[in-house]
Amino acid sequence: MNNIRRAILCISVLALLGSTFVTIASANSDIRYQTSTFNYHGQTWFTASGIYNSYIEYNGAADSSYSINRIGLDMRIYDGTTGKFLRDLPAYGSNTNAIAVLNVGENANWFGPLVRDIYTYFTFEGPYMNWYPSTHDHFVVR
Amino acid sequence: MKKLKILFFVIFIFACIICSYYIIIKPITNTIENNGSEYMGFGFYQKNNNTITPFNNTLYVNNGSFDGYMVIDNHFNHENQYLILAFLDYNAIPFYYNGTVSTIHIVNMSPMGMNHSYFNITNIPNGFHDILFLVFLDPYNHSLDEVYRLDTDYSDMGRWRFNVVFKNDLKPLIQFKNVYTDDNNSNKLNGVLVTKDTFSDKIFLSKNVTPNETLNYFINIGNKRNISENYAIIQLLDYNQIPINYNESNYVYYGSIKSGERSSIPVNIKIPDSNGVHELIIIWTTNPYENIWSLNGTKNNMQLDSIPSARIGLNVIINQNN
Repeated sequence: MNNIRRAILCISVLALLGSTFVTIASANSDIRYQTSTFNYHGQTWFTASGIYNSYIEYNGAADSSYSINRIGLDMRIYDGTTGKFLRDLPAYGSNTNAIAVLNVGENANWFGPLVRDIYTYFTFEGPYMNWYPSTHDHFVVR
Repeated sequence: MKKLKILFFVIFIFACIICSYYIIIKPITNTIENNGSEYMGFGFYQKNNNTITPFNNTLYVNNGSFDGYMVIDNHFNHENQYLILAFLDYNAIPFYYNGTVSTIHIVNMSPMGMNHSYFNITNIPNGFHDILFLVFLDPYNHSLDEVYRLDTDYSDMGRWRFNVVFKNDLKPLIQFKNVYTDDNNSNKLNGVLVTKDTFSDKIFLSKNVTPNETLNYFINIGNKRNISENYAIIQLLDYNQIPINYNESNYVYYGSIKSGERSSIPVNIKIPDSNGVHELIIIWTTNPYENIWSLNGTKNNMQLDSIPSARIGLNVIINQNN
């Protein structure tokens, strides 16, 4: 009974994780990154997150060749109408995850224009390889 | 009875998942804007007797040459072209790669392909050196579309820096200049931004130009971190290194910037005399000549990176009337 419960819990957690992250798995890496928006307390928030599964196994053995030492995350925001640079937002990164959260709601007056282009740059640094996903999100705040 | 309990438990768990989705996740998740699946990878390793090891230390080379294997990961669902450059102390150098010696190497890669190739750099002078490899994705895309140009900012370039020591570990004596600066507290820049005007926020992406004209612009460097930082800047025109100012002989600009400052460095180039779009890229390297590895093999946690500006498309139009 306990084993079944554990298995079901495990599947549930994975299902939840799967619904939030899109896995980009190659033969050699398990890099996940995503940007999204959500509403909270009437404000629109933008998040960027990168995670790395450091427990990859191939052929039954952990393969440290493809581990990640650090995930870097930077954001650059432009005025989506004029193309004018607005600001850079360097974010915290660690060896397994990086996350940045930014208020992009209409009440975020410090942010200025209502049309925004947010560029997110990830750097997944490993001992042998670096990977460089990047994303571009376009917002029109209503 | 036991099976019934299990069935109820399974139903309960799935009910919990559905409830948690509607109660916790759905109300706060508006849209998932971006969950891309394509990217490039760039890496290095050394191989001895079929044993592969990473380069995870300062490299003490014996005969003035440095070699190993370079990996490019084209994690895209389509073919791509890559262009590779190597720099010794921030000056572009020829190197052996995939059977040829050249300053510029081109690699064509298949969808989801990985390329492992042997490289070799020779004639390394005595002393402590930075060796920097850069790889550019899709280098000859000459689209002048603004969205494409902005997408290249900070992107589409892999990099890898090594500390290499030959005979002695004397570092180059560099004067890092702290000029053209503004310590305005409202500095929002933390990196490199190329603009047509000094201290401007309008990014320079493309321009119609005439052959042999002198083009003036500004390389803006911002530091929002809480420590001062040294940096090196190089300029590439069509992936050939060019001087910082066209009538001078300096190919590298060494600068220093304090926390909260922004520098706006005036530079210029002479426009080539051949028709078509030419690619101008500025590379900003933080903390050059710092030790990447400590003696006990741990990596320096300083910012040690090389970041590309947006690729600036210089559209040379030859006036037919001339």
